[in-house]
Amino acid sequence: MEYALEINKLSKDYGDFRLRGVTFALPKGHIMGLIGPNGAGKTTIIKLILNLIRRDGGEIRIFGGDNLAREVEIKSRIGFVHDTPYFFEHLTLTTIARTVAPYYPGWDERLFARLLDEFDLPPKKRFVKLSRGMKMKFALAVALSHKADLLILDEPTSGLDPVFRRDLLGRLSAFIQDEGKAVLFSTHITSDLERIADFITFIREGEVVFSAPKDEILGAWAVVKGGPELLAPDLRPIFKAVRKREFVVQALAADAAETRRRLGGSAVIEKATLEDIMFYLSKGNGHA
Amino acid sequence: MLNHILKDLRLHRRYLLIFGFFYPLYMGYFGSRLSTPTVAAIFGAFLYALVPIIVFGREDKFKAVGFALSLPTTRREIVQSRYLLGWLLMIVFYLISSVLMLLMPGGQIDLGEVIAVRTVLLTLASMTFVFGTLMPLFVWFGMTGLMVFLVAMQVLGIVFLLLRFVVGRGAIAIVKALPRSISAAIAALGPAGAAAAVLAVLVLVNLISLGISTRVFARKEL
Repeated sequence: MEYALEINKLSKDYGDFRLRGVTFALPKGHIMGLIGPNGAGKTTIIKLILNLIRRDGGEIRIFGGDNLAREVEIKSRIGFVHDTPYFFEHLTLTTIARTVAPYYPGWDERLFARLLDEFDLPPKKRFVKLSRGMKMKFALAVALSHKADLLILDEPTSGLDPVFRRDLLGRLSAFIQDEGKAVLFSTHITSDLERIADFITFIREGEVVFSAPKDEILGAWAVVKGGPELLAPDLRPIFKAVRKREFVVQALAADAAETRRRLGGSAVIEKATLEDIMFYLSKGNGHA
Repeated sequence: MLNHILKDLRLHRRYLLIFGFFYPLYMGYFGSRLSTPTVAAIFGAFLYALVPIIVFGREDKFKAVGFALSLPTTRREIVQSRYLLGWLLMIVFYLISSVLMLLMPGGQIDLGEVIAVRTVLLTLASMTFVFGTLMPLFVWFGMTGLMVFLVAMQVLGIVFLLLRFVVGRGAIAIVKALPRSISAAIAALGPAGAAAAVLAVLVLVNLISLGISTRVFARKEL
């Protein structure tokens, strides 16, 4: 399998926060969702990919090349949408595009003009005057206009209206129809990932909890609801996280089939959504 | 590199036009009132070295450096382009103010003094000192680097005053002896050799400054 992005034992130490041994790989032709609670390290990973911060250890390979050794070549193949787009604020959209375009050999002016039109972005408007959603749209238009092979999106759908969110997800799905391309999508809106992601990587406290195909995750993980009997010591190993209320115990299991076999009809077992998994692993007492 | 320079010129066009109008005009007038261009050369160099720093500081303010670094470029290229643009701006401003100095009505300076090798070298040396010292501090601390520079200059002044007070005039003589002996050594090379030697030192100082800035920026977290 050919990979668009390979991250191997990546580490970064901020003193009060450490990214430890982060390892995952995104195959070409796929979308990977990067999820995790606030401060888990998602943005740090993205900053490391773009060399905005220095890594302390590990390796980042993009299209087979080291992201530092072949920085210019690799960045010309990456389209980046940051959660807070920092462009040159007082310039108009056209001027920003004119400034950015010479950096990219594959810049397509016609495509850019078409995307501005499709996104209802006024070319003569100054960037600072745009709403957050419009800024995101503009960042996306720039990323798509230089025909990037890898899109890295950091919280791109926050602040967007549902209509454009759906439109964006459709565009991302269409984007990876070209099997040489890939998308890394960091978000809190897990429902977006359930629609389009092929792989999910879950980060918590600077470590990868799991990185696997989405269908495998959604098929295997389950939420279990029952009484205090779920707290029995012999059952604890099957749960990744447990939340205890007054009379009800809710737990997250990584192996739905094994859980059903062990519990039979003594508890309610439901398929876990990505949001459930993120919630229980972030808030539940347990071990992953 | 050219892309970065064009980007910065486009990004800061309005500020550069404002600076480019008022600074040379002020220096042109100020310089024309003096009988020798030495003071104007030193003061002007300080003023012009601030222009690129202020301009680059605006980009930091917008947090646009992070965006610039997400473009297909390297940190080294960004620093190199800033040095190149900085020197271009300083030289253009200096040339404009020199012309204005000569054209200003009632001016006391003549062309020979303005274009004298000594004046040109003094200007370049002053620019090198201010810009070459400021840039690494700016890359390291942002606009606070300017404050660090100014405070360091003041501390240096205080140290010399204290030294003079404690050691007496002997301290000044020691401090003055160094440039005197350097001047004597340079003079021994003859006018052309001396100019070439000074230019070589200035280039070396700029390269050292560039090297430090590149290393500092390579380690900077954005």
